[in-house]
Amino acid sequence: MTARRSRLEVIYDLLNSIKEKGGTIKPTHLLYKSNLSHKKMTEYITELIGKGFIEAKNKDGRKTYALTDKGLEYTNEFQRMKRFSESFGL
Amino acid sequence: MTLYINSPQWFAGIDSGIEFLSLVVALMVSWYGYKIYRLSGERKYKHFASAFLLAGIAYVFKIISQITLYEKELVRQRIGPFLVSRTVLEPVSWLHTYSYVIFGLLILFSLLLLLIVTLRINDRPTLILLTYFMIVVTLASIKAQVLLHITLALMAALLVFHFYTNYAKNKARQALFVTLAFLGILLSHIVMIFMVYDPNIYVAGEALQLTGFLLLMYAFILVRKK
Repeated sequence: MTARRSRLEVIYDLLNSIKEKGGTIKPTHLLYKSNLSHKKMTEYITELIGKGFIEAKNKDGRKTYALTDKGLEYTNEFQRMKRFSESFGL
Repeated sequence: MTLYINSPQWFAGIDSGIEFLSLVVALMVSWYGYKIYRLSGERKYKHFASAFLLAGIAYVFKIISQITLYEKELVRQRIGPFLVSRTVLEPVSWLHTYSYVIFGLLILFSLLLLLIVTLRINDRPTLILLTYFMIVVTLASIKAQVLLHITLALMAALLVFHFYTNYAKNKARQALFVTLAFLGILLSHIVMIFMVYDPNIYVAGEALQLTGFLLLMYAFILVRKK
């Protein structure tokens, strides 16, 4: 059984999924990759937009999510934040 | 109210330097914990950052208590036909005492908050009881300073146990240094229990605290390394 992901990891997984798709992703792909329920993913997306990590865009009439510079910074900082958390057993 | 630090004269000022370094390291850890809180929104990081911020502020008050411990006073004494003038160090009682009490209160709450976060204590009655005991220990330590160090040593011991268990689980180098850092802090409080007996014990306690915070700084550098 795998351990439950922390919020730090869930956010990283969401942002990294967008990053791996070249910086833009469709909501359905993100739902599939995030391994979250639709309700949970919507909550996270709302939070990530609010924090300025991603932005919702309309591409050819279809909704997509794009990674912002701040979101990219989070993915780069993630390993250090994880190391910090693990160091203190948080 | 009488509190004093049984320190050798040559060490006056050096101890404040050690507290300043401890303050800087505590604020560095607090800043990064707060940064993670801002990014993740997880409350435990906010509490973790607050714990180290409290420690940082506590050391500011400890510095105040150290630098106000003595003031220079010119004493003139007549020995036979000669008038001898010399400068002596006299304690500045009230400012030293109050800043030391505030230091005690803040450092106790800092370690308590760290214990709450790391041991995941959520039970409200337990939290109220612990808060009450911290206030009682602070007030009692005005009369018996040793109580503060016994309580801090006990809390640090619980933290060392938690950090060691964490290290045994993940075997990360930085987790080992965090454990060693808190072991240094634990030993410093154990040594400080006996500082009334010999001024050199105070020096040893401060040296152990310095070692602890230097190790914590090294752990932080390991974490921040790319």
